[in-house]
Amino acid sequence: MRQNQEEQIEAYLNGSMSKQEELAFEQEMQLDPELALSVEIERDLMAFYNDGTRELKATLQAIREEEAAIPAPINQPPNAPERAKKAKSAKNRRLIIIGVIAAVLSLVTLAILLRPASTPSDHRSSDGNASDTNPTEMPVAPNVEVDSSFQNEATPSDDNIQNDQNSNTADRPIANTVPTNVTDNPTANPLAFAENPMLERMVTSDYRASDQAFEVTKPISERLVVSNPSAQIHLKMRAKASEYSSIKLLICTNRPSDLNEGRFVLDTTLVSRTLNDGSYSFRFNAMVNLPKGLYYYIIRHEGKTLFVNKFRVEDAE
Amino acid sequence: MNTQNYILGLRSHDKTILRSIYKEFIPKVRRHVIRFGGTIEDAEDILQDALIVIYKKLEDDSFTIKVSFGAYLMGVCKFISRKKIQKKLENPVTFAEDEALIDIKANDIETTLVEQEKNELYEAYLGKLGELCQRLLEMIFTQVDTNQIATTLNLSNAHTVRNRKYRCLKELKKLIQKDAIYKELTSPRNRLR
Repeated sequence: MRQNQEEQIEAYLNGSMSKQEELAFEQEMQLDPELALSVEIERDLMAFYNDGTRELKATLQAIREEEAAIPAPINQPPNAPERAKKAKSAKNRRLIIIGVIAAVLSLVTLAILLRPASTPSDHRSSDGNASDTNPTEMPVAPNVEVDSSFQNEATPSDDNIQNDQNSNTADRPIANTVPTNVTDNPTANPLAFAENPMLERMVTSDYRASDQAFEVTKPISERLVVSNPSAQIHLKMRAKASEYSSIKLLICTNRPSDLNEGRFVLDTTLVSRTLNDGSYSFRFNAMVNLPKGLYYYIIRHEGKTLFVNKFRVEDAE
Repeated sequence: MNTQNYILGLRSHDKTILRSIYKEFIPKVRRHVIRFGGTIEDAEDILQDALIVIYKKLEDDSFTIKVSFGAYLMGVCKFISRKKIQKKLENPVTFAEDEALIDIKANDIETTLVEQEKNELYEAYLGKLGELCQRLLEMIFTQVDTNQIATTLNLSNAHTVRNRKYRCLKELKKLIQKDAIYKELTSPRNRLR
């Protein structure tokens, strides 16, 4: 037997043990997980330091970094600096702060979720559905940097757009994280409405039909045009399977770089509410405060894209 | 560029060829990965992993690519992204087999991927150790003579080197035992079929 464990491990790994010693040592490892781990670590280190792919990996990493440093010739950002705007709410509203996300470093990442305390817009209480309203049917605070808050209407109504707008819910502007180093002259930026070819393919493909278990019920048409200012986005989705108890809603500019680098205008999680027929519904209502341009909304579930569609933000009139 | 050139370039780590492979294929990989909900970083990781998988296959001289290099590379990339997506999902979807990959065993790819992941973990663990430990372990595990290690690292003798090695490994072990990812990576669930 070797003197100490260290030497034993070394001997075992470089194969200098006799068959008998080896068997005894392996038996010892089975009884002693600590020893087994030590052996495994040393074996891993041997593989790590003598890995023939280390050099290749370093070269590939260098290429990757160099290529990433070269800015791709892409579309200009959608136009107009962000107009810091307060949601004017003449509507009476009683709101409860649901959640607060703390600020990280200098980024203002405070997002406050609000919802009506009572449900004056609860115009469907007769269907027996209102009483079991899931109070969590609202987005979790976005994890992108935001400079204002947004909210999701918490009415149990599954009605149409008119009802939504008549509800007493105050709409808040969507957080705008679009870089603002662009001019406010729309003619200077013809690319604000340029299509993002990658997303366009997904809009035009049969995404809507591809997943029977999930569908977007509103807007019914493929296009949603939103006018600035004070315009609203209403989305309704329905899922048949409970696996979609929460989904991710992303809103992205038309710039491929924003998509590729994950810079979303909005990145939020919607939690579903159970409907009478056993399906699950999601709603998202927000007031838009975005520069003019073409935007895409992407709905994902556990990393899988379920749906992509687009909307335009245009001036009123 | 033809398949043979790509293979030669990959085998010899030729930076110019590797760069042209990267530039040619990253848009395709990106499209594919983003379509399935991945990010641009995921796409870059996947292309890198795929090239390493093929590189390792090329170490075996009898290995030949029967389709074009591009088709083969994309096949491997798709396989890897599928694996990563399946990992994220609770009820993994089944995908049709890719024809380009008929002659590469899924096991080969998975083994390489787990190896790579493990190596990345070790890179992170080792980065947390002191500089002396890092240099010492590297020399020991690349079979540098113990006396030479002592001289290079200004340690008094071979005995000190062994002592140091023991302490460094102990520290490393502590880091690893605290880390759940290591356990997951070495669990039988990860050793796929």
